[in-house]
Amino acid sequence: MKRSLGVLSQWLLMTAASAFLFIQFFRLNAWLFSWLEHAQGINWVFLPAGFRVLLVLGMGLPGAVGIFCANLWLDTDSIGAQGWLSVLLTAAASGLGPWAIKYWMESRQLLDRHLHHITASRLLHFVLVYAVVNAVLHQTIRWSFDLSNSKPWLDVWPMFVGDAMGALAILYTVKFSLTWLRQRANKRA
Amino acid sequence: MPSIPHSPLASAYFRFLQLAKAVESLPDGVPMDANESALLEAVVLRWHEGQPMTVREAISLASLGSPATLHKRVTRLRQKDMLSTFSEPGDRRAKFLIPTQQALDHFDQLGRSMQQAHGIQAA
Repeated sequence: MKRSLGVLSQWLLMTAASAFLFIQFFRLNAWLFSWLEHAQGINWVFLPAGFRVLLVLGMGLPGAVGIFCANLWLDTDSIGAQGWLSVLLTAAASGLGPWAIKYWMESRQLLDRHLHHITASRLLHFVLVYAVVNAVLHQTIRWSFDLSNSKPWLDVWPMFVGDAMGALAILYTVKFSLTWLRQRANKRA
Repeated sequence: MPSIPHSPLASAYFRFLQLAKAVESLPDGVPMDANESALLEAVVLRWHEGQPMTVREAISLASLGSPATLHKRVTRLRQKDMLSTFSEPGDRRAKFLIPTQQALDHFDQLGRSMQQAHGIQAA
């Protein structure tokens, strides 16, 4: 019982951390790249996509649920205009979509649950598949609910590019930061 | 052997470590040329034998180029974070060359590719 509570509390902590980080990076992206917005909710550079990759791969389901909750919270104002079902499905596509891709890659033995054999190329494959699936899912939902005269065959491209660019920008920022930190540590030693 | 921890936070921490390794080995557009690779291999082989090469020895590898050229290559490899230097506490004059984590990851990647190629051949 005590152990189960401990696991549950860690799970909730990771979900909350994931939701918090996603919301903060969503706001940062809006502040930095609002001038690159193609349409409402679609940007040519979408930094939170990179955090989606890191949070879902690193935290697993709690990370995905955190992103789902963050999306629900961010879209609260849209429930009146879009309806709760479209908001719910969009949040599910945003958070649970990447987790489903991770699950699919695990089932094909392209990834393993503990990421023991993850390589740069597998990571890039994940980013690419995730960017395609995320853009297609989001545009399918928008089209199904006929949101703001959506043109899925046009909007899917900026969304795909935005997710891929955002994910690569974050991954390379992490890469160069780690390299810089290691060089600094080596110089001190 | 103890089993993999089931605590969600510990598992996430280990997964982030694995992710960091994969992120660090992402291609960065500054690949080494064949001459730099040859010098790096020579230096790492000596390090692997337990006798790290000094900078003086590295720039004297006549088969790989002149001392001036080799000195530039050592500098470039250090700038690309493939080599670092260290000195013995008692003798700070001799600088030894050792591979960085990035260089070790590079060889790790080469080893995996070789294993994959063998796997394909065997199949």
